[in-house]
Parts: sequence; structure tokens; C-alpha cells
Amino acid sequence: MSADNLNSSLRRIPGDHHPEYCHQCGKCSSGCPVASFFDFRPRRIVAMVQLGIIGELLESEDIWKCAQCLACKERCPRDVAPYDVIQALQNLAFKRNLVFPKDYSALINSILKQGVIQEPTRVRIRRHPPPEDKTKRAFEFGDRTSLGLPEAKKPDEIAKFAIALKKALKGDEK
Amino acid sequence: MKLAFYPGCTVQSEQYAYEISARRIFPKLGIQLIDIEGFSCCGYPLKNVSVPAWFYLTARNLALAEKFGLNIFPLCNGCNLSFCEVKHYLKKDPILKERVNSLLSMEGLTYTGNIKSVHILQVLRQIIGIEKIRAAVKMPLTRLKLAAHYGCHALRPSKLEMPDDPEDPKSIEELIEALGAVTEDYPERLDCCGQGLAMTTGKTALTISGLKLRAVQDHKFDGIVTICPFCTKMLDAKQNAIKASIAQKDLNMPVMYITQLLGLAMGMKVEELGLNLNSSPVSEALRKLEKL
Repeated sequence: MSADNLNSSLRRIPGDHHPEYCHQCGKCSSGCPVASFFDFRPRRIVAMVQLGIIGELLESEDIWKCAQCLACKERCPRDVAPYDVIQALQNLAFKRNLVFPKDYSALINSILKQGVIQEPTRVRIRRHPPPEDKTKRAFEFGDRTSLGLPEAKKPDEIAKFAIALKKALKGDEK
Repeated sequence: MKLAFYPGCTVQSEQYAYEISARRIFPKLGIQLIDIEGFSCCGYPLKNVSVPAWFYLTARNLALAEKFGLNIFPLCNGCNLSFCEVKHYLKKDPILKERVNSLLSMEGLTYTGNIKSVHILQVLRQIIGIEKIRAAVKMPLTRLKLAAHYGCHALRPSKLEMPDDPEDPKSIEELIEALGAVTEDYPERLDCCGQGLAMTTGKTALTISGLKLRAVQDHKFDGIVTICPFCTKMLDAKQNAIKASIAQKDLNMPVMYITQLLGLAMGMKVEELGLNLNSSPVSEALRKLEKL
């Protein structure tokens, strides 16, 4: 993977990212909620992209430590959109099967299978008012039906939906 | 006014309290929630790994609402952001729009971009209006001091018609006051809930949420008001896990959806608003309101 190649692949991922506009003011890193926990700095990531050091980013876990709060994108005085730069890097790392959180595979399978991230779950319902007899359970279990909610939404024709989504995931361009 | 009601995956699969309370209060405030069959995930969870899949999923739901000629009303900050962002990108780039439409044609759908997504704060403040809400209040929440929690995706990026000012929003505070409760500014008001980190570094996500809860409790609020199911999942459903994770056994903060508080102020019962589903100690707040 040459640096030029990666750079042009990165640019082709849709978004409002403009790493070339950055003048390294650091406003993004100073407002980042994650920067106080990890050595994660949006400013440095943008600088690395500017310098063409993209391969290294794609093979590190760092780009996945973003909390997606968008403060950097909001506050950037140069419209760099550091968040969008990070998102484009993450897309590229996934596309090239490099480093990405493994849970994404299960998430994708779930959406392909049922159209949503998860089926409705059973929840605990607190008895109200709480039972005076302390030997009685303070909770019961319920679901959408027992709570009087209509059926959860999902695609009507899941097979067609899954084919279209698979195509989108492959990034098929016509 | 009719709106295409889009609960979103997290609400329809586990955050039932939001859906129950929304379905209760909005019709009483003149908003007819129209259920549309066939809605899927909004695509937001996949944006980090596949922008094309994100575009497809988001546009698919917008296209479904378009068929009915209705603006879409998502109950989630993330879904709303998805709808606004994808609309923006597809408007900017006709080639992307064409690609998305070729995928949508498999299900006989077309995306044109002629409907809007309306955020809950826009529905409450701009469509219904504070005056109408104030008039609907029968039992003011006078004894409560409530902290507003907006969630990042309600406010950013402000270039896309977000419902309030990104650095100094006021809508939740206005609503809290309209319901008869009090509120005040606090330094951590706009801090992130940490949910975006849940998949990669769960422990840090809990810590970030814990810091927010700690701050709200130290400022002596009686509860937090939320509008996003992801933030609520962190602050409410995971409050016990947070206590253990950051060794703060005394964390004890009621977390309630704005729709639940609206319903209480409108005179509805605890069960009608799903207030028996919150995991955080809402009974503390209900006791103050003499609802327990």
C-alpha cells in the first residue's frame, strides 16, 4: 500500500473531511473527552494524514478510541472535521480488513438477519408501589406485548433488504 | 400534525419507557404518531465501518417515510443525526444519491430527499410550543431540581439544522421550567455520556458516564432529564455497573426521559409512563412528588 494510494482511497470515502486545511491549532484535542483517558489526539491523527502516514494509523487501535461526540468537528476553525477524518480512516481499516473491533461482525450479521441491531428483549418491571411484604419479589418480567406496545418494526422483505445491504457493504459501485 | 414515528432499534428493543411515554403524551399535545411498517436500523451503528451501508440504511427509512409524505420523528439523537447527515451528503452528491437509489430499487423504494427529520426538541418547542405545554401542566413538578442532559448528537454539528445552540443550549431547561421544576447550569452539562466508546473500551465508557453522574449528584440535583436512549442506557441502565466500575457506591441518581416528566406534569400515572422500567432510583424523585 503506497501512501499515495491510501490517501486517494481515504479521500474517496464520503464525508466533510479536509485534513489539508489543518493548521494544527489543537482545538480538537483540547476539547476531546477521550484525550484525558488515552494518548488519543485528533490533532495528531490529522497531522499524520497530512504527512501521508496513513498505513500506520490503519494498523493501530488508536483510531477506534474516538467517542464520536463531534466536538472536534463542531469547533474546528478550519472546517477540517477531524471526526470525519477518523471515520474515513476507520472505514478504510475495515475495508482492508486491518484493525477494527471484532464486535462489528456480529452487529452486521444481526442487521442482515433481522434489519435491526437486536430483537426486543425482556425487561424487569418494578412493582409499583413496592410490595409491603418483603418476601415478595419487587420485580416482574415483561416484554413489548405485556407492556401494551405494538410489534417492533423490521423490513417486510428481509431477503431483498439483506441483498441490498450486502451490496452496500461491499461498496459495489454500480 | 402527523409525523412518521421512528422509535429506533434501542428504543424498540429495550428502552421501552421512552416509547411508552412518547406514545402517551404526544397525541395529547396534538401530535399524531404514525407507525410505519418496514422501518429498519437507521444505519448509524455502521457508519464507522461502512459509509455506503450507513447511507443505504438511512436513506431506506427516509424513503419509507417519503412514501407517506410525512416528516420522520426519531426518538434517538443518533438516528436524528443519521437522517440529517445522510440527507446533507446525498444532496451534495447526486452520484451517491443515484447509487443509493439503485440499492433501494430492490425493495421498490425511492429516496428523493423531500422530507425532514424532526428532533424531539424541535417537536416540543417549535411544533407544539412551550405555551401549549405549559397549558397542559396539571401537576407542576415543583419540588424537583432537575439537571438537563442533551447528548452530543442533539447539538452537533450545528451546520445541519440541529435543534439548539451547540455550546449554550436552552431548550431542555425551558421545558423543565415549563413543567414547574427548577434547574440550573452546571459545568458538566454538555459532557458526553461515553456511549460511543462502549464497543471499543467499555470500561472507559462507564467511567465517563460515572463522572457525569457524580457531578450531577454533587450539584445536588434530584434527577437527570434525558432525550436520547443511548445516553439513558448509559446513565440509567448501567448505573449499577458504573457504581462497581468506578467504585462509587453512593451514586444514586434518578434518570428520566423528558417524556416521562411531561406525562407526570400532565397528571399521568407512573405505570402509564413506564416509570416502573427505569433502573435508576426514580422512586426517590417520585416520593418528592408524592407519587409513591
